[in-house]
Amino acid sequence: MSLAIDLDLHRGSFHLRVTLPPHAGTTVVVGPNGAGKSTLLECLLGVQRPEGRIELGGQLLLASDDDVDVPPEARRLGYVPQRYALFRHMTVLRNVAFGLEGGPRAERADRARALLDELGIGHLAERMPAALSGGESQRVALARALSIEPRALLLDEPLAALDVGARRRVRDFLASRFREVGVPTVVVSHDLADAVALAERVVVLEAGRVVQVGSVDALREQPASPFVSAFFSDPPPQEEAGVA
Amino acid sequence: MARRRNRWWWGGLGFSAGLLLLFMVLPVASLFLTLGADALWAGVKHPAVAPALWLSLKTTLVSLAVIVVLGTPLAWLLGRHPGRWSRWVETLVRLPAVLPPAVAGVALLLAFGRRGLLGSWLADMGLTVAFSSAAVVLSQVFVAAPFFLQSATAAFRNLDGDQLTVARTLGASPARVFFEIALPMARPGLIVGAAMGWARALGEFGATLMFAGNLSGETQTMTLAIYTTFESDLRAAQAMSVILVVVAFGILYLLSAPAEQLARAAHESRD
Repeated sequence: MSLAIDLDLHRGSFHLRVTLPPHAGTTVVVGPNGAGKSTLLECLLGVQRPEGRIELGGQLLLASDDDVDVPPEARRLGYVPQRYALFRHMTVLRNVAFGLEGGPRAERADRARALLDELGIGHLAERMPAALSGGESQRVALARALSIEPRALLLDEPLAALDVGARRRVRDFLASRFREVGVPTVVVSHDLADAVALAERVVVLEAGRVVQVGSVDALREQPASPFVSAFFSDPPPQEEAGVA
Repeated sequence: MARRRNRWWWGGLGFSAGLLLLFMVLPVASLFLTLGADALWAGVKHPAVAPALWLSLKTTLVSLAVIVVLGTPLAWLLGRHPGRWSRWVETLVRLPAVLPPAVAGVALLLAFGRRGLLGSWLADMGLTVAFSSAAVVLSQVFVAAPFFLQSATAAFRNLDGDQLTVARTLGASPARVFFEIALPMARPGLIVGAAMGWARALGEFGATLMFAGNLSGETQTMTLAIYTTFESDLRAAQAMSVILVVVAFGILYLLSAPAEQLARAAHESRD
């Protein structure tokens, strides 16, 4: 399965124009604030309505020329937003069971519990989101995204809300998860370490345009813009300073 | 020592704060202090009281239902799908809250009165709205809806958009997102708005008097009954006033819980 993107979005004075060839692995999208990284995810999710084509594993999610625009609830994309956006009025278990369809309630609960166990957070099932640490919330959000057996995973700054120690652990955890799940994955990040640990392909987005696409090594060797060279400069700008 | 040096400051603060507090408490306290239990009971038994109480209860509950059922969709649209028009609409729906009651009464008569814009058309079909219990409800909805709408719109607007998006990606239709995510999350704000609206409907006076009249058992609500009995039987007016004060205080007191919850939720979504 691979994800191909060709889209065009005008929002006031902002113009997002992204064309990316089909890719099956993990893509990390980096870029300065306001480059349109989160907007790109919203376009993929179907929350924004751009022009163009989005193709996932042979299925068209969007083809504005042919009047195809699959609504968000039918795209089967697993989404983990920046601050995880757990449903605060539901237990962890109900958060994860929300996307499970069909079958009696008890059966859905069993499936949700199995998923929590798989991610090593079965003991959190009855907790409310307010009682979770950042790392725990992150795993719950991931479990919830995986519950629909997504055809692709989209994560917005998955590590930004964690402290530095947890970040390293969660990064390794995510890398192994992505390999296991094996669907196209798009991670928005402004952390170089994320790109190094997760990316098979790095996409640099600046002011709504794709500036460079390639492996971490390729970008390091031949940065196409001042942002890219600063991204790889020593010390890495984000890791030590943490995130504002 | 610092306190002594600043005694003019503290003295001034205490004096003005105390003066206003006294001024606000004294009238309410007088309602209770000048009425013994016997007199209160005698007032409650006045023939105007029971029908007015019953009518107020009935009409305000109907008004509240109308406001919540029709107002929630409007608040959702204003809060979550703002457009070029939304500032105009928001200003328009807030207007009745600041209109002088007499203006509201005239406006309602001109719209729904027998010769009104819509009223004349309704009259042709044999429906008379003005000077009926229905007119009481219309007056209450007109003046109280803004209180619910303002609170509900703010509650929907402050929802975490990411949660709504995630719910969609998990296969939920917009309707399911509304009922299972948005409504429960916005509940404190909706409750506060509904209670404020209900309190306002209960206190409605001017528009009702002009548009619905003052007929015992049909359009004479508590406030109108107070106005009417005031001259003939002060005790009855006072007894009804006491009832309304107790109800209003109860509402405000119960509301402090969801209001606190609301403040906490707003704080959490910020960090």
